[in-house]
Amino acid sequence: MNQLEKRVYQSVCRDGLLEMTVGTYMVLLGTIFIFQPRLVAFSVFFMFLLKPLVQKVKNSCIYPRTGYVKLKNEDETVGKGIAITAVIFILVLAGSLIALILSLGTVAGRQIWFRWFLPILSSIMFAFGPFWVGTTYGLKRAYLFAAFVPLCGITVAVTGITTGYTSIGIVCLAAGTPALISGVIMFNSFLRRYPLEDVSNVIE
Amino acid sequence: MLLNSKSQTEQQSILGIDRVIHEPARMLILMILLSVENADFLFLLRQTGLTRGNLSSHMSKLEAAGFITIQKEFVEKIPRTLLSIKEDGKSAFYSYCKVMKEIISCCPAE
Repeated sequence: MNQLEKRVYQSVCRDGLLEMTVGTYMVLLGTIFIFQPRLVAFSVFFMFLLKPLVQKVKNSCIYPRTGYVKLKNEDETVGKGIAITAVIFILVLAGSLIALILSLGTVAGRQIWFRWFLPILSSIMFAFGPFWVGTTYGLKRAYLFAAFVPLCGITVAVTGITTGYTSIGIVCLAAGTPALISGVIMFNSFLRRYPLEDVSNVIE
Repeated sequence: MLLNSKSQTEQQSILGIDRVIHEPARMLILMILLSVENADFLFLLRQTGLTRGNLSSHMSKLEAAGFITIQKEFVEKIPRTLLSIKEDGKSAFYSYCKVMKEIISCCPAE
């Protein structure tokens, strides 16, 4: 039963829409972090903007080709997951900053936090989503993405090419761009593999 | 020949198999519907690999047995036949699995 469930879940993810959505969001988030980090809170609105857009694409391109399916507790689980991850992330980031300032002083503490903690912790947080997708849907490429994102964060921290909020932006762009590109490729091949079914989606 | 009590139980188990669920295509449909909240005709068609007519006839049998519900709706002017498993269907499937496990446990090893 579990294998069948995973197979059903995997079939839902073969259209590349998930990758395209995550990639788009990450690229937008990265751009904000690089150019206007103060406006990062508004990135939440992207989610609200992307959701109806994704639904529109599903209704017009996906469901007529592979059919409609509603997975169990889909919206609740994802919503809860995002909320819990965000809260944990803010607490860990704030806690680490406070701990560093208390132990090393304001200047040194902030410097280390911006150089090391911010990019690495952020990238680990971004890896939670794909890791959850990997375990729930049994998608190997999600695990790959979950491993790739922290690697980006560590690379940014170690090389020190940039620090602060720009480093999160770079991590987001580095992780989002391949996700977006692979999503577009998958979506393209999905459209070719599954031609439009005729409308008689009814019992004959 | 007199049957012992174990053999009688086995026989009763075999006779107790739900014939509606026992058909492989219908079992597959139920298993898919068990793993999702609901799905439409086209999705089941893709997942099962059955023909339209075949799937349609199995769906009708499952509906007649009271295991699934079939709803028809329109989404952006496109008709959609939505299927979901009923509580009766779930319990029937689980009791079918229980019966099958009992029978398989009685099968001799190679």
